[in-house]
Amino acid sequence: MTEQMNRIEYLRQRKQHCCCKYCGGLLEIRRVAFSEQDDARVELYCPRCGKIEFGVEKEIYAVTEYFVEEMGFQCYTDIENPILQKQMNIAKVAEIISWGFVNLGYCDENGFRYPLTIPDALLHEELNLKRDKWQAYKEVHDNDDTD
Amino acid sequence: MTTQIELQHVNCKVGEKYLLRDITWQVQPGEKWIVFGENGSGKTTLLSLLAGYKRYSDGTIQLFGEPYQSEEVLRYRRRIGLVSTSFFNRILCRESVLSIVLSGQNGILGISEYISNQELLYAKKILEVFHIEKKKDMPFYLLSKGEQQSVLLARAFMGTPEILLLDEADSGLDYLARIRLTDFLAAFAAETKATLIAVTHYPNEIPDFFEHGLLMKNGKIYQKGLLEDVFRTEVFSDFLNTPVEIQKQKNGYQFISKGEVNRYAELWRT
Repeated sequence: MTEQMNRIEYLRQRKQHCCCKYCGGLLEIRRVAFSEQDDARVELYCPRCGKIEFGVEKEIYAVTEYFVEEMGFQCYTDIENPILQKQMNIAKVAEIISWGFVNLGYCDENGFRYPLTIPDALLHEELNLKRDKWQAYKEVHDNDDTD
Repeated sequence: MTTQIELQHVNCKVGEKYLLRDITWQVQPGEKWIVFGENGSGKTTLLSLLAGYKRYSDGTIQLFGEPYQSEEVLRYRRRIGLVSTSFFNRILCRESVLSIVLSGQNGILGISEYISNQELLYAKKILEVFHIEKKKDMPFYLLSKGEQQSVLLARAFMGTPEILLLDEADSGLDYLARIRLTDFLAAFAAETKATLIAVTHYPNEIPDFFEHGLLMKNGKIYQKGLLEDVFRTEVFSDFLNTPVEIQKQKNGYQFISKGEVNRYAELWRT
């Protein structure tokens, strides 16, 4: 967080590029505890989960969700609720990936340090992007305005 | 010595109702206070106000020798640890144990920015101290009452509390958990110079290192001072509006009721 940016402004920017690491839903800024100062009373909040949530980059959530669903990642066998179980597995992997990216220098508190050029649609599809698939995609979508 | 907490004629009003009324109280650094009162007497409100989570309507507050400024709330919260399930249960529900503990670092309820590896390792170490490390990813609402207390205790120690506020920290704990809490408080009192203010409903389990008492009734301070002056038979009989006898014992006071048994026995006699 830069010195020029107060906390609420930082949270406003963060909610633009992050989502809930449990359900992938959009985050809101909510007043949670009373204080006369915004910095001390607002938090990022996921209304779908009903919790205070710092969030994770949307791209990280997308690849994580695919990984958990397709690879059957499971580390919460003692949770009975299947929806909660899946959400916690996704959150766990998202935390690991986020931690790795921060420590490797790809992410900081403002998000990805380098722009991602992978289209959103492919984030949910492939773990290893093969050249021929990427070429085929580009040929079809070269004239699209949006990715 | 600079007074650590000073409240002068403080009111906390919500609508037309006074949660706290005309509170005047001074706490010196390192003092250990027991706060006692019936449900709804304002104990949790008082502690939440001191910890910077509640607003007061009138009066003046000084913390750490400085006039209370709302712009400095986050700075106060880092120096004051609040353990109150009755307060945090209204706010926390599905947040994970680890994120709740990490939030204590900066005095907010969420996480402010990316946590450093050092902070993460320290949080996990604190969770181990409070025997809750295996549930670090669990949502708060899935924990037992005792486990929730442990999480909030761990959260209070992510910062560097110079004042520790415990709101019924012993309530709902099983026997082993109560022993651990007592041992923890004994170590805290012996090893640190921090101020400790604890709310309890169990006067028979007050450790001997507590030397001051504060009685609260209907949002006001009924009596305050040294524990042996406050926990006396005549004071409590008047305070509770029922005859009781108080006997000092090791680590606490025994309350002997002097009238309620006959009153209840009437149910079966008629």
